Amino acid sequence: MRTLRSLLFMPGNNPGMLISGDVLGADALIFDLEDAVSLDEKDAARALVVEALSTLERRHCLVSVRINPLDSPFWQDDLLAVLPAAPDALVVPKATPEALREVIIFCDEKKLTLPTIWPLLESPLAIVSLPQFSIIDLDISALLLGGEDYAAALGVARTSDSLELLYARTALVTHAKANGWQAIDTPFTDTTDIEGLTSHVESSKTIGFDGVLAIHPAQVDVIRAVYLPSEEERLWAEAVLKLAEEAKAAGSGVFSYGGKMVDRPILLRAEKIMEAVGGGSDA
Amino acid sequence: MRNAIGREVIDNPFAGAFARQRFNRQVNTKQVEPVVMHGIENAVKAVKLEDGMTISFHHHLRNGDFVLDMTMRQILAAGMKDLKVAASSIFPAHKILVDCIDQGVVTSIDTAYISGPVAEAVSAGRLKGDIRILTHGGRARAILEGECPIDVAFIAAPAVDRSGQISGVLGNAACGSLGYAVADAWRAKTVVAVTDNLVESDLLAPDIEAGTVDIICVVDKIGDAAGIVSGTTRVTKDPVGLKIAKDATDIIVHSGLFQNGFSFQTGAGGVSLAVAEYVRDHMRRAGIVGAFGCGGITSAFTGMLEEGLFHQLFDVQAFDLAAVESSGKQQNHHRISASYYANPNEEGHVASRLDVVVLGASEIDLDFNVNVTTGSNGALLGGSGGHADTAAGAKISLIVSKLVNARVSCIHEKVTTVTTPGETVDVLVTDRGVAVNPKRKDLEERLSSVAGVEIVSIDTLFERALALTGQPATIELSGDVIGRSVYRDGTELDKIYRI
Repeated sequence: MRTLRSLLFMPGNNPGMLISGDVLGADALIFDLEDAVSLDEKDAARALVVEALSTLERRHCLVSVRINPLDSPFWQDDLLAVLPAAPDALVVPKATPEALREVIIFCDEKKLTLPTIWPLLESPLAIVSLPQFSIIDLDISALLLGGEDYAAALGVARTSDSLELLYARTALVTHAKANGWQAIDTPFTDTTDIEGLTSHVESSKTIGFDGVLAIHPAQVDVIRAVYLPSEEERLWAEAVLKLAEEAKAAGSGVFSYGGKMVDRPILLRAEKIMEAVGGGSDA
Repeated sequence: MRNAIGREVIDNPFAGAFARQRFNRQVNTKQVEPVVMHGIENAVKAVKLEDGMTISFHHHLRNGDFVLDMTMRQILAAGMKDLKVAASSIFPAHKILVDCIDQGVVTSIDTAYISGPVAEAVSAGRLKGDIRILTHGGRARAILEGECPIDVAFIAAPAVDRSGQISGVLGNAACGSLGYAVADAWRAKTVVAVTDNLVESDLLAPDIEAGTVDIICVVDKIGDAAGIVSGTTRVTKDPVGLKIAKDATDIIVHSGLFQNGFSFQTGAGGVSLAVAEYVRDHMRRAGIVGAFGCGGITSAFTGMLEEGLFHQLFDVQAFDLAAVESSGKQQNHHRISASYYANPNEEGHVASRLDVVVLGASEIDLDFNVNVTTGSNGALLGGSGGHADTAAGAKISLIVSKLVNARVSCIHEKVTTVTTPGETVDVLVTDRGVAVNPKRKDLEERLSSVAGVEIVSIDTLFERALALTGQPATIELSGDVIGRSVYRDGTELDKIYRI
């Protein structure tokens, strides 16, 4: 699957946005049936999302759907409606291992085929249950963090440096990487604060997240720009990979660059950088 | 008869964008001393209008103009018949023309743009004669060449001195450049400067020089300057519009023309203004200083001049009040005539020196012909303005448009009305890909390596649009011809039909 740098939420009840979302540069769209849709528009949003899934070419990005949470009366109708339209992924909100098992049971009963799952972890319970996600019989390919609900569950306010999410962020990244999944950070909710968003995405990148959730199209370019390797990184990676080829041709497994030994993790990092320069990858 | 782009026309068929060029710089030869009178009724009596005459107006006060209304009310009351109105543009504020049309007072119209109730009345076939939709440069050419003789020009004048010099930048109704009125002032048999601001001291750097005005007519108020603000005038916030603007900017930056001495024009639509903002950022970062910006001027361009990103602005009309203010005080903000701007007969006119112009389209067809004159049902909703002039003049003309807007594709097999011939349109930038006119292989090659810009054929874009909209039903036009779409050289591009 391509590297997910930006995953952009699109309100499921807004046909204009659904139909134009695929041109906005995000790596994945999340057609939202949950928070963006008022209670009296759930049916209409489902119909629109199904129509959009059937119509869009999906040439530029993956298209996923966020269903309603399992403590709501809507999630089963959501699955019945959207899964036949074959979204590329399913975002399950307020995800816990137990909730995911319930989804599996329901889909088995209804003979619905599940796509890859992107669980959205939004509670302390979900975070402490991280080790159990890997033993569920599901195709999980990315873990997503929902910081607003998580902080609310802790009983604290969200802060600009996200200290309240420190454990959740590092734990989620660690478990995702341990399982070969992508780790996607919580969105930055002030859509007008580009500086704040940049700082948030820089910290996501530093912690090890592969990408960040976006709640406004204007956030996509900022996320992409932060994740784009710097010129210095690109030159370093190019030099390392060139030396690696030369070493391989000379039959030597070991070489150094800039006075430092280049081993497998360094090579992997150089490859990742060049993939990112190329604008995404099929890892 | 059919013209060179296969469209049925009434007379004088279009033979190609550059088939008819005869450089012939025109000058003012009129030298009169004005008389001063008060009240529009006295001026209308004094000019001795007769049935069948042609009267003209400019549109620099745009939807804030009072002069056309007050003049036509007098003419309507006088019971004149069969007049031709040659107004540079017609806006909703000019709805008095509907009564004039219905009562046979006005039976034909020449204009470069028409919208609102008058457009609706004309599209409904209520005008007894026909309407000609010209270009801004073509209108100046037609007047100066004598193709469109004007008997009386009523010129809304924000400030006039006793010698008849007119300035657009002073007074309560200051509207900036009076570029569209210059040809009228030079060639009309009688010129009436209608003003609410007769000044006793000489006007320096006037838009219209002494010698042309026969009558200075003082009235209470010629207009409301707040009404000059054009259409959008704000950078779009629509993410799809911004994506189109970014792609258009990438194309401009990689066009080979983006260097010191760059010249540039955009319209006042939200996407065009976003392009202007993005180009401004690129110029800052690359340290590029352009030769000039031109056209209808907005605050985006006055800001660039103030910042030193352009050496000059050539301003034929102000689209907002910032442009009005700047044109009165910035030394290198030049107010120019429509002829200097875009008259194809004027060698070296500004439009012909443009590197890049960014334009809109309501329809574009597989031959890159553009329609900004009518909707898909044939109803008048605009007109060329400077569209065809700048597309022909610029080294690269970019059309920016959503591929599908309100469930309608911007691409059609054939446009309803040709405003701008496809041979002068180089690139279509949409949210779902970019098409380069096959005549511009050089450009296609250059742009094919621009990261993030997907170049496809216009047929492919059309297929993408149809995948979203389905095959639209064909709209049958009435077959009753009400007017002509006229190219800048005076030849006919297309017929306009009653709806």
